[in-house]
This record gives sequence, C-alpha cells and structure tokens, in this order.
Amino acid sequence: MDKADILSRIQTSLHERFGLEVDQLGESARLRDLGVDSLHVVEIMLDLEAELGTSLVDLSFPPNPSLGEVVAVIARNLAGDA
Amino acid sequence: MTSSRDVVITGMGVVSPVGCDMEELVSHLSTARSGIRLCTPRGLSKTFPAGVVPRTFTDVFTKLELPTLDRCQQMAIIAARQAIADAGLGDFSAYKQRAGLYYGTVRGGAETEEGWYEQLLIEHKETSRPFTIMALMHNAGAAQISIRHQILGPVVTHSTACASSGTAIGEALRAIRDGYIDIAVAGGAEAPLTPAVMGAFDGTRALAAPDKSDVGRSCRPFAKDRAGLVLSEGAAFIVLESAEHARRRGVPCYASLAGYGVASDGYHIASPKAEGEATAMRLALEDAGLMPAEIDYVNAHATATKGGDMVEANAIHMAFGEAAKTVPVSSTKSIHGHLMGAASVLELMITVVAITESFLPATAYLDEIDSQCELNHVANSPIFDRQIERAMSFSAGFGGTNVALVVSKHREMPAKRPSIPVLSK
Repeated sequence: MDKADILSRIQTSLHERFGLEVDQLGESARLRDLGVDSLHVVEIMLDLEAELGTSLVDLSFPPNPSLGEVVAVIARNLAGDA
Repeated sequence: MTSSRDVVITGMGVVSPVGCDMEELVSHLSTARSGIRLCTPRGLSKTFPAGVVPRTFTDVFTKLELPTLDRCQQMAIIAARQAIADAGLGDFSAYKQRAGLYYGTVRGGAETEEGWYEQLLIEHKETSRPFTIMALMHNAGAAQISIRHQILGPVVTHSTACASSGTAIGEALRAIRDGYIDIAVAGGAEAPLTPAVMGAFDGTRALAAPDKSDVGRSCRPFAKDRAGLVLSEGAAFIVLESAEHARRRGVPCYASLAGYGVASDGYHIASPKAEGEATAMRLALEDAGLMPAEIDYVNAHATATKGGDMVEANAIHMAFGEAAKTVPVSSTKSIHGHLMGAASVLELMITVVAITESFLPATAYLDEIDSQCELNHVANSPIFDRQIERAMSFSAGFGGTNVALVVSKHREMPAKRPSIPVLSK
C-alpha cells in the first residue's frame, strides 16, 4: 500500500466517523487545526488496523502532526521499519 | 479572601421531561401536566413509566465531539449553557480559580458503559474504543462544562445518590460564603433510562408499573394508592454568586440561597430514617436563620414509594413541629419523576419558581391522601396568587445522605423572573 492509499483511507475514516470534509484533509492539514486530538487518531488507527489486518506498532507522531506526517509514520510501520 | 453570607441565584437552565427551557418548565408546573410516558429500554421486554426527555441532542454537537459525550453529558452541557447565558456569562477564565463547578450524578455515562459491556461480554472484545472511558466516567459532565466555559477553580463531582445535586449546590454555597470562590455553576445530570439501570432499579421492587388508565399519572407521591417511583432523565443547573458580586456585575437575582443542611442517617443502605431527614431540615432552617413557621412552601423529596413518603412526612412533622400542620407541601415528582442526580437541583429550581411566580406547585394525582402522610398537601392543582417569601426543597439519597436547601426572596436586589407569561388563576 502506498502513501496515497493510506491518506485516502484516513480521509475516508475522518469523514465517516467525524464528519470532516475530505477537501479539508490534504497532506499539509494539521490535526489540531482540524479539531482532531490524540483519541480521534487512535480511533482512526483502529479502523486502519482492522481494515489491513495488522497491528501498528510505533505510533509516535511529532507534536501536532500534519496528515502527511501521520501517513509517513503508518507507511513506516507497514514497511516493517518501525 | 472575602466572605459573604448573602448568596444569590442569578441563572437557571433545564433539560427535563417537563421542559427543555424555563418557559416550558413553568408551563408544565402551572398546569400540573405530566412529562411521564412509556419507555421500553432496548433489549428488555418490560415497559416502564419514565420521565423521558423527548428529543435527541446529537444535532447540537459535532461528530468530533460526540464520541466523548454520553447522553448524560450532552444534557448537562446544554442545561449548564442555558444557566450560564441566563446569568449573563459565558467564559469564566478571568475568574481564574475563583469560579467553581459543582456537579451531581448517580450513574454518569450509563449508556456508554452498557454499550462497552455488550461489546465485552457478547462480542468478546477485550479492548474498548478509545473514547469509552471519557464518556462513562462520572465527572465527565463537570469536566465538559468546565472545559467549554473555562471554569478553572474547583470542578467537583458529588455522588450522594438522589441528593447528589443537593450536596453539590450546598457545597458551592459554602465555598462562596467562605470566600474561596466568587461564583459557581451548580447542578446535576442523569441519563438512566438504559436497560441495565432500569433493570437494576426494577430489582429493588420500588419502581411503579405504568398506570393503566394514563401512564402520565404513574407517579403518585403521598397518595393512598401510590405504587412506586418513576425514573427520569434530564439535567438542571443554577448559577450562584455572592450578592455583592452580582451587584458589582449589575445583574438581578431570582432569589437568595439562604440555607443548607446536610445530615446522614447512618442507618440503612436503602431505607430512610426520619431523624436524619428532620436533622437536615432543621440544620437548613438554622443556617438560614429561620423558624419553621417562616417557611411558606416545602418541595418534598417524596418519590411515591410506600415507606419513603411516610418517613418523610414524619420527618417534616419532627422538624417543623406545629408548623407542619400549615406549611404547604408538594412533591412535583408526580409530573417529572425522579431525576436522581438532577432531582435536587430541578426541585430547588421549581421552589425558586414558586417564589418568583407566586404560586404553589402541586402534587398531581393526589386524589386520596394516605392518612400516614398527613400534611398540608397542595393536591392535584397548583394554588396561584400566593406570596411565597421563603421555601425549602428537600432531598434524600439511598445510603442515607439528606439535604435541605432554603431559598428566600431577596429584598434589596432587583428581582428576576423566568422569561414567561404571568401566571394567574
């Protein structure tokens, strides 16, 4: 799965669960600006783990990450580099 | 640190089976119109009478907020918001640690908790969704209000069963009088119409069955044919501040919160004791500097259980002596049911409305008074055009905590009334 797929899944999850509009959810959008906190992120990660049938081991994001940074951390996990 | 004995009520807000604002509440009280209807909790085959708030609030919050908000907290936030706006306030951050929030609840986020148990026990999940604990914890309502309105002083949750919001209000009063804070938001919330809570209360055999002729008349406090209590949901909040502080802000007040009495039975986990109840009433009178004969109305706790109403009638006689023969008494639970953690505050608010609107709220459906509950009952219909200077609201909780609160008309400050039409005969 490439980064574009991961971003797309996160966008879908943020839209379906929390009502955020997909056009707000570009790579540069910062979670705090979207009103998304750490618990929302955990919820999204659980969705992703269920969809991919895997467990994300390292979810250490930088402070107030952008969606792009979240995608990078997940991609690293999926690549087994976490 | 300044202290002041004179504490006033400057804001009120309500979400209840008898109204989701003050105007609707007063309308129900003036007609003794019941808000009790049929309720079948999900998964149970039995139908109960219940005080249902006939609307959802999910449209009031964003989808980002909702996962942390059980219905209990949704109602708490809305009622507190009304009370705070009514007092002409919004953001308390300038008060720093001199604004407090005093909250009461019995079961907190019961629906969320039951949802998680369902996942745990039926779906065999071992880990909950991330928001579960935030939505079920008992202090969540207090925390949500504090965060939204930047109340940065004491934010405290009371759980004294059905006296919870009563102790919350009383302790807020003391904190203002003792000079620790200038202003407080106090009240409670409850959302107990869930299968596990209803089923558990049904286990006490204290719940009323639906009245066969009219479900609205299922709760009949002090009546010979009373058949048990009716559980209800809702939230109510008041804003309390020292009279001096309200004057400085230039705001009017509904009434003074003049007295608080708290006393515990030390007797039984479920059965009340007249001595404990009477002591709370006496302490509240003493705190307000009043004699029993100076009280013009008592809003009783009376839940319509066989034993409880009798004990309370006895307690009123013990505390009021001769005056018990004449002081008008009613239990408005007959129309709104038992809001548990929000019961005390709702009933105090109704007591305040009796003062501001000059009428005695009734115990509805009191066709035949139980001879063992002899008092001067306001039976069936409210009595209008009655000047009420001072009144008491009483609450008693499982476990034995009893609270009495005394309110009185403020003689010097500009009087405030709920924004409602004038009541008349």
